[in-house]
Amino acid sequence: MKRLMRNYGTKIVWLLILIISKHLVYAQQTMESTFHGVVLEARSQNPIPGANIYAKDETKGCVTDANGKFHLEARQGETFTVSSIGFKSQTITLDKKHLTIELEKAMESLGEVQVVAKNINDIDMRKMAGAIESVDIKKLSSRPEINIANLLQGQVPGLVVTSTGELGTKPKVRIRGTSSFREGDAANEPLYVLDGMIISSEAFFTLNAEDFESIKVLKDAAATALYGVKAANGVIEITSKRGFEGKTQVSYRYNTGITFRGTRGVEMMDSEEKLELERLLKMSGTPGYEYSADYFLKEFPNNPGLDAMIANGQIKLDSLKNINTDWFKKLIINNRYSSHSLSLKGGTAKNKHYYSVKYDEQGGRVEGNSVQRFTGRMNLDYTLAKDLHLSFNTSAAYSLTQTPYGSSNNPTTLVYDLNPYEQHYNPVSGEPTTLYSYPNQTLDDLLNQYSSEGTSKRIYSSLNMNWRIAKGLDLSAIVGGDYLLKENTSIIRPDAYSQNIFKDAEKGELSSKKNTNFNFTSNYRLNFNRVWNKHDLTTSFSYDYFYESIDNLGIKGYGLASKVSTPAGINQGLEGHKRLSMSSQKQKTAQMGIGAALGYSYNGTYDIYGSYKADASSIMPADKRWNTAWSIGVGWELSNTEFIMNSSWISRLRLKASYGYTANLGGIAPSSVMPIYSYNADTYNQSRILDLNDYYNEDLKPEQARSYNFGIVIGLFDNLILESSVYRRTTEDALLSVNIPVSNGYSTMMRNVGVLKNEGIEFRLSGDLIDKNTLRWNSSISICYNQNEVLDLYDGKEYYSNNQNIIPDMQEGEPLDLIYGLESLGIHSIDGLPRYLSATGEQIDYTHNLTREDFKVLGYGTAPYTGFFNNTISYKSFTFNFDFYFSFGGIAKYNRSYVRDLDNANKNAVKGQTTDMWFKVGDENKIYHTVHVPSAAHTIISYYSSTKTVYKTDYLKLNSLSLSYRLPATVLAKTNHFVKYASISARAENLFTYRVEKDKASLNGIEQPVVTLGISLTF
Amino acid sequence: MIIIVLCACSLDIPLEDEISGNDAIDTPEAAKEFLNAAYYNYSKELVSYSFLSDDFMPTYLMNKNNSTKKLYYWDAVEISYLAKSIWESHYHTIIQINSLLASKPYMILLNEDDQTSWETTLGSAYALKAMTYLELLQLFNDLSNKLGIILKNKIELEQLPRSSTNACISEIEHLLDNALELLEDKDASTHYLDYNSTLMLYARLKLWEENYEAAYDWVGKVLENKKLADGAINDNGYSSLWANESCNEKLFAFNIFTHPLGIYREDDNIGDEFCVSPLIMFEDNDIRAKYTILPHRMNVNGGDPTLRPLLGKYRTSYDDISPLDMNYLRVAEAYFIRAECLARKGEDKEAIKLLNELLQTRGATPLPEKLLAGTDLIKLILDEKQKEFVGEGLRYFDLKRMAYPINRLEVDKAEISKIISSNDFRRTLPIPDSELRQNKSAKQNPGWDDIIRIIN
Repeated sequence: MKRLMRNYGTKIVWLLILIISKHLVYAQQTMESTFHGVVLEARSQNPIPGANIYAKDETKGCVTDANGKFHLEARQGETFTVSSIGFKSQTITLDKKHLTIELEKAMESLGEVQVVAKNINDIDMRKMAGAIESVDIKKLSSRPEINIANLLQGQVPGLVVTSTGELGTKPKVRIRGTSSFREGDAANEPLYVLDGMIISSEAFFTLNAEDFESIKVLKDAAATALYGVKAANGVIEITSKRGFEGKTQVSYRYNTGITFRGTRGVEMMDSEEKLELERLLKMSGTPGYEYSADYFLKEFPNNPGLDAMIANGQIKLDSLKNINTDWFKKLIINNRYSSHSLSLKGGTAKNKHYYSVKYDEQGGRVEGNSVQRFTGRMNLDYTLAKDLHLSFNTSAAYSLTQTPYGSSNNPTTLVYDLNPYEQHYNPVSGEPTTLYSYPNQTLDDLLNQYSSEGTSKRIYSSLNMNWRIAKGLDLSAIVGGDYLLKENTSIIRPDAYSQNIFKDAEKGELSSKKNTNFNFTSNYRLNFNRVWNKHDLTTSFSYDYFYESIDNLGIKGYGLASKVSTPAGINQGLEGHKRLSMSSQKQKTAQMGIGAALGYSYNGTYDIYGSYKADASSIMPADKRWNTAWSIGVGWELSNTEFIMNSSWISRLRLKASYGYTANLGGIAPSSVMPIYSYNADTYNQSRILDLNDYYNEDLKPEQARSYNFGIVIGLFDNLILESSVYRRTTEDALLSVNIPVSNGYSTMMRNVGVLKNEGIEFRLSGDLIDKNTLRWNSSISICYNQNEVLDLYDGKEYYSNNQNIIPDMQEGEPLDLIYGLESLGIHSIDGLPRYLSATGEQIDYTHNLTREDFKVLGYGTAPYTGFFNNTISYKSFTFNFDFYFSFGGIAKYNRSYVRDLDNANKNAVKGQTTDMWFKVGDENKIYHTVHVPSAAHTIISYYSSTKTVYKTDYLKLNSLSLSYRLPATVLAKTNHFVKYASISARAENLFTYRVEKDKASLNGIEQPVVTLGISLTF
Repeated sequence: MIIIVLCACSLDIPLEDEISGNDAIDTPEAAKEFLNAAYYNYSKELVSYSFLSDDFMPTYLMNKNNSTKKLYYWDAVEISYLAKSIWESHYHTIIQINSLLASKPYMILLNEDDQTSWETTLGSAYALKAMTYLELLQLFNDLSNKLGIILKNKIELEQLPRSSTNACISEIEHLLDNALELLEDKDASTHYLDYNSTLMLYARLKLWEENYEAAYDWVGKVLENKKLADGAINDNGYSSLWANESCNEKLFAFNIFTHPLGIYREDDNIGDEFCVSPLIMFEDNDIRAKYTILPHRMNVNGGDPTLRPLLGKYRTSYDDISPLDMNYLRVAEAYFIRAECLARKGEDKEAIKLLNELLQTRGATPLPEKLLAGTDLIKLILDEKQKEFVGEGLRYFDLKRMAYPINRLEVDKAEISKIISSNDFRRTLPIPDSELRQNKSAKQNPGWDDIIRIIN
């Protein structure tokens, strides 16, 4: 496969060379000559490697090498802009053959990089007062990460990305915590915008990081108010790369690596301990008990051959003890990752182009699990007239995901179930062995149950226009469409073990789905800008329209023919619950918005900004359709005041504040606000059944959120920047599906239940720790605190979601995810059950009638503190990166599912259970209670937490480590300057996580370490 | 682009897979389909009621299923789970019917047929609501006969108190009157409540209310229209009761897609967790024997495998699990109600004569005329009723209303393990916590407070 790609890769490269040489010829015909020079830092005279030198139209240009040196093919008198991150740009004219350019440091903080607006909503006035952070996607895109969201982790204060570690699943992305009572992505995920077009979160996760110029994260109301109510949870704006005027530049990047197994979730027993556990529990059906002396003495006490039986049993046990199969190593595999990407950019003054293609594939933890993806992109820019620019962007993506397991018998859980004394094959006979952990089945029966294959095909296209109508007045518009087709077929083969109990004609299961999603966006903005004296005024008006059409069709059938694995093999004659069934969904929705914004700036020092947006959605009935959002913000730049200019330790100071309001019914289904009826697949008396979908609430009001944000940016000494924000968001009429008296026919209803507050504070300190000669160490450390609190519940002071709870799920004055529990005194040595300390100070057991006062707060379920520590060290041609990510302050309950009891002790158990569990009277200081739990004790033991059953989830993770080396100009010169830039890199991701207290009893959430080598070339 | 702007202005896009709005149900056809949902969702727990009565005896297989065993022995916690499921499901049906009734103003009737169809649907809806209330009342009414159930007439969220028993009875009568008026001249139907089934419901209500005069009259009306065939043994008619065939004896049966005995049966060929109580015996000529009892070889606790009398209704062989309609109202019940009313009036001979009419059609030996009198006669009538309706749930309600002590048999032995006394608080079901927690106006039945709190 790799060789195949290389062959094709080579062919494509030669094809491109042909195209390029035409451009080369064109360039030479215009009589250019070579200019040399060096770019230095003004104050220290240190060279600046990697500085950009580009013509004004961004067509031709080059990049300085490790020593700050460059050479440029250009014509005499041409002007170029020299820029580098962290420095003030300069314009130079090519008047001499050798140039020395000195750049001054700009006190721009990492979060406020000035980027020319290529995104329709990216208007300058937002930056003054709003909380916007930029992510250096160019640096991140070289990481070997198939999922763009994981690249964002640990880059922006307040942005938290939690990945499940499972290949192909969506990670959880949250900006500034959750400010809703409702869980789940629909109510809490941010909005994703690509080049001015709104895209779904699924589409975002399939994007190719290398196609993008910048990613901005918008956190507060002033920043998000232009997107209206959809932006209630923050916005992530992505802008794609474009072409430039100049010689076509071709870049190729190849990465290959290995994904490792990752850490074991739980340390499991070895054979000796497991056999001993079976004996202690007297577990029938297990060898540890049935070959033990205890068993023979009990069952055959008077048998004359008793001694021989015991001896034979012991021999068997000894042979089993010698087998120690490491199922983690057997079932979880290392796998490879590779990606090829090729991009081409260039153009003329009037036409610019950017093309790219990328192919990548990643194998999963388990044999047979893999994802392969191919994406292509084409961004074209046309200058039709002096004042009219058009851009046309198209991209296409195809991906194929294969999963060899369903939700049951997933190899990642089998790792913890299979016993260490079991084997796949009998070493003597070569036959598969029958297991004890899954009686009557062999490992083959467990593994070959299910297979699923899914593809997704996507094409999206947009047309962008910018027209300068008159001086200070311009109109931007974007129109685009996005089409996604997802198909999935899942099969349980007729010869799978789970199908044995069915009749031949009913064996096997197949389900096939085809989901299409088409959406159309249009967005228009009219901008008016006037500058006079020291005043700068901008107003803008916008209109947007979004239309989406979903068409899903699925079938599910049983009785699959053994040789045909498509829907054609389904037995359509079956009746009852195995009959062929069909599911379908067709839905068309539209949204429309209008907005206005006003920004005013005086003397570059004082800024004020205000915006208003109204959005409507077709889903809701006409009276609940419109939602509004408005915001105002102020900013005060103090860097030029006398106080700051004279200060020796403060070099920069900026203050900003904003306030915003949104009223939003987001994430609410129409069936919650009005009666919606749909047809049931079943019938009654041979006619259709029409039923009401949900208990609706016609009085439902939109959630109203008010948010404040105060921010300060301080430049310390000459090279450090401290940024800090404080924010609070209060949501009134918060929506939640709550319990209602069942005499109303339903048990839950969506209602406006109360007021929720979400607040926090963020700090980031960044700058150069070392900056001399050729060694530079740039670092940034950030820490954020976020906490929510229920301010008010309309119906009483508490809310119980489940009738079993003594402790309410929500109470006024407390955060949402508080964990309550009992004070545990440990396992009692007489009966093996835990004892607790009651509110009155007495020792109680499970028979005690618990009251509210017996419970105390154990901690928070969501860690309130998160942060990161990112570093880049560059020395000559080498660059070394390492990033840490940490989180603390939260707790979670131990997952005790691998502490086995009598129902499942035939499966493997957690190491140490034999020594830590109570087995008989007199066992002291045990951690795990007895397996013989009276039914009255179940609630107190398994449902409630206690001080001994929760642990701290604090951790510090080494997110990524990488080393790269840029080939020096001298080496590149040997290729006759054909290769303009080349670098080799080695990277490692998810290498190491230090956890303060350990408990991870499943592979979810454990990310696999990936080590890759890569090479990147630019021609 | 301007063209696109102009095209793009409408937000009135209708839903495609669904119908929305208060006026969604505006044709008789839609109304019928919505009524189907109510019939489909109705919680059909007849076998569970039989379980709680003395129809059955547990087999050794019940020892393996802890929760079924606890239910048989009237464990309070298991009963409360059953009560919760019944209460929640029945109120769901009531809301569905209320929504259907609320669509009256939106109904568009174009012609006579539409009018007839709509009236039939409406009448059937009233009758179903009455039936639901009646079942709830019989189950949850407190033993002092003062506090009934919650009467729900609106769709909006409410926190209603429990109405008095008398108020509940009036409401049920009101609903039944409406139903009778609408259904009077409409076609009969097996799967929906029709005129005769509604008359039967009225009789049940009056019987439960102990208004025996009225019950006698109502049941008389049923028998005017529907009578079991005179004289000859009605083998064919009786067998079609347990098949998906139309039958004169069936007043109303639910159309279902599962086997009526589904929940208490084992899936493999070993046997059932329960069998018909050995105290219930049929004569050899009795055609009911063949359909009520299914002999099946099973192990016995502490003995050799023998033929056990499993419940044979709705199946002809042990592994027959094909879906069958579940009978709810049968003509035979009218006979027993009338006989009981006659006995209470003192007309013993008439009562026995009526019973014999039924027994003759079953092929059983008629009872002698001067057999018993007074309360003994009533007990006999009810025992015969039990024989007729084994496994159909009626016995539980009779035991409850007569306050007879209820026997619990040992596993596989015809010995009494436990007796539920006449004033045991468990004879009435508890109001579930999912109601009381959110509804402070409703009160729990006595004796259940502590239990509901402990398990919840």
